[in-house]
Amino acid sequence: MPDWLEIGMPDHTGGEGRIFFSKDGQYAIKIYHKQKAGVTKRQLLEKIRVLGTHLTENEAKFLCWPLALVDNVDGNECVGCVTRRIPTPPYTTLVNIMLTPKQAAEQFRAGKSWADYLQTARGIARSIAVLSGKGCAHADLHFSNFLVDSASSDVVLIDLDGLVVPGFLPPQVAGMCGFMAPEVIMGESVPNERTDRHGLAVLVLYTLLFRNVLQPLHCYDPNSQRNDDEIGWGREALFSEHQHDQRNRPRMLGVPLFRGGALSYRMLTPALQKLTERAFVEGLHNPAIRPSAQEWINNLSWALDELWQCSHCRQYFPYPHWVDPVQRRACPFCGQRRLATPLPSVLLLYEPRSRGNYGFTQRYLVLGNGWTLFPDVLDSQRPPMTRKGEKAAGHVEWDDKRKTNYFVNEEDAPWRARLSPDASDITVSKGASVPLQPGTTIYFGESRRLLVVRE
Amino acid sequence: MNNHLAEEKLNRLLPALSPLAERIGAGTVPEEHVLKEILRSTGVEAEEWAVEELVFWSKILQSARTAATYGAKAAIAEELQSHGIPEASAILAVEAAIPPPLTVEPRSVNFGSLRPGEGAHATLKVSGPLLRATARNSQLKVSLADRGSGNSLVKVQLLAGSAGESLQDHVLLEGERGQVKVPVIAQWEKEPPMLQQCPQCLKESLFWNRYDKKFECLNLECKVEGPSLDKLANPRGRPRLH
Repeated sequence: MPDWLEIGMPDHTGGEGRIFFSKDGQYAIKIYHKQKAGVTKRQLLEKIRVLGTHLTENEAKFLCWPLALVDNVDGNECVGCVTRRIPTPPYTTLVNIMLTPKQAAEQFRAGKSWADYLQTARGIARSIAVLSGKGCAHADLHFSNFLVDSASSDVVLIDLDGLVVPGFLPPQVAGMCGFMAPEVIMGESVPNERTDRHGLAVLVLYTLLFRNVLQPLHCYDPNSQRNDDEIGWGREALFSEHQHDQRNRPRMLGVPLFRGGALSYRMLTPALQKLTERAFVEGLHNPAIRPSAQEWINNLSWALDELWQCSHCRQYFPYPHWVDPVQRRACPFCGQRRLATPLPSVLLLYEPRSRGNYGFTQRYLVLGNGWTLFPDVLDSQRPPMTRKGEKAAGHVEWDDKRKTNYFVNEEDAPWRARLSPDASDITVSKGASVPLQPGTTIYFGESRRLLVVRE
Repeated sequence: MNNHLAEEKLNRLLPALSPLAERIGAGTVPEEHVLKEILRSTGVEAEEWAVEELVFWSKILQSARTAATYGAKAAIAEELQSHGIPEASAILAVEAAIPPPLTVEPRSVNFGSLRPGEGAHATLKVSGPLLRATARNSQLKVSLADRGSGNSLVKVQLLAGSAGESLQDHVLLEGERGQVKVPVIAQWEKEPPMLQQCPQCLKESLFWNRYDKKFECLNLECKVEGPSLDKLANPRGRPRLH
């Protein structure tokens, strides 16, 4: 950081202060309004700055941390902080891509993919995971505090000047209505890591379904908007797809998006559906059981392995293998029921446990003709989606004569496969393949995961 | 070995980390009764397990007092983390346990222009743990008054100086993390002429008595005297003649 920076006129003014950019384009500077800038604010900022010096290079990518404090502007003492400047473009605030279903449909027709939104949701969770992993809470999560690179889906969390660390950094703001946990709205709790979990869940679902899944659709106080909001988002907060209470149910729920419908969380993978229920049904008023940011990262990453492309609208979505019969499986965007021919194979992923036993990971793989499998999926020690530039472990080929997908080994080490529970093992050497018929088990080697073909 | 408390216990105890670190930073070595007091102030019953854990934390944090480098501080924070304390809390606890640098108000003392033979004094408010306050100039006497754990008052006494004399020196304040020099400036007025016009009787009869450091009017009908021209008065018992 240079000792001094040259700044121009403020770029914009917010409730807390004015934002400037340094003339060299490298830094953003926030100067707090006089009434917000006491000695305490400076002390809190200094503590936050110190925490930032402990970030790893990788962590710093997702978080726009205060790098220095401002001493004065043109000789006039003030309180402020300096962060790196996130270039816009290519970055834009999340609010700009948080579209209405109608706008989303237009974006998709223009070439944007729902898989991009899945990656964005993962990026949001990743930035929060870094904070919560350190014992911090952001306390003001909403869609203006994330910057997204729409090309790479990289996400950066900004406005870290109000971080909460119990005992050291008290909450300075309550948050934004719509993203605040009900207990904060009701005044029963102050922002903390568990209320961040709520905000994160709202943001993830907003990104994936293009709507706030807690949006109250019932009026609780016609005379006071404020009171109505406090009740609707607080005491009476309710998941829009609650099984027994349909007060907040959108009118066009489940109707394909391109026909003016609202996406249902039931379009998500089974693991994401469970996480959603934990966040908004069991955990809505029980903070202790809300999913952590890391759980969201894992399940959003795994969802990428369950995507399928609609043969009609060319949109990617989680292949609804949990819906039976197959004829009922439809694209949530265009409603197409004949999803594609040939249909993909659905495989179950098992984790090695002690003494040669395996346990189901609750993860599925949806693999169609030409799709590849990467080694990180088979290695239980590796974080998900750590495959950049890596060679594939195998790929799927459709055999039109036999009407079956075949899984081709691309690894040097042979695999072992059993085509049915009572059959004997076969060896699948490099270049050889195994038919992905229901009941087939593929063993990739010691301490690696195991695949079982379901359909 | 896993040193972690159960999550529920740790969460109950964590609010005590900040006040504990602050006390250590202020120079206190927390005895058991202090630890119990900290626990009570954060709403935790002073149960044995809680006191024992605070003793561990206290020992680790005391080593932060002499941590000078980033690496040393990071190592202490890691040790706290090995007890289950989240990274951010551990880092901030180490920062709080390091004695803060001294800050002093006012940052300098200017006694201005004094009359010959006149002394003066000033009080410095010092924040941060102060070890010593000294002055090498023999005309400055420094004494510590009201020495608290975080704040101290330092009394600076300037002894009388002679006419025309000046002083430019400093008071040295030493803390655990460095020292602060407080500049002190004073000057004494030059000696007045031996004889000058008396402002009272308007005769050239006002004598400057350099031994008693006072003016005396030699006019028997006036006889005013005083330490300065604006404080001339008749001595008691000697009625002024008209």
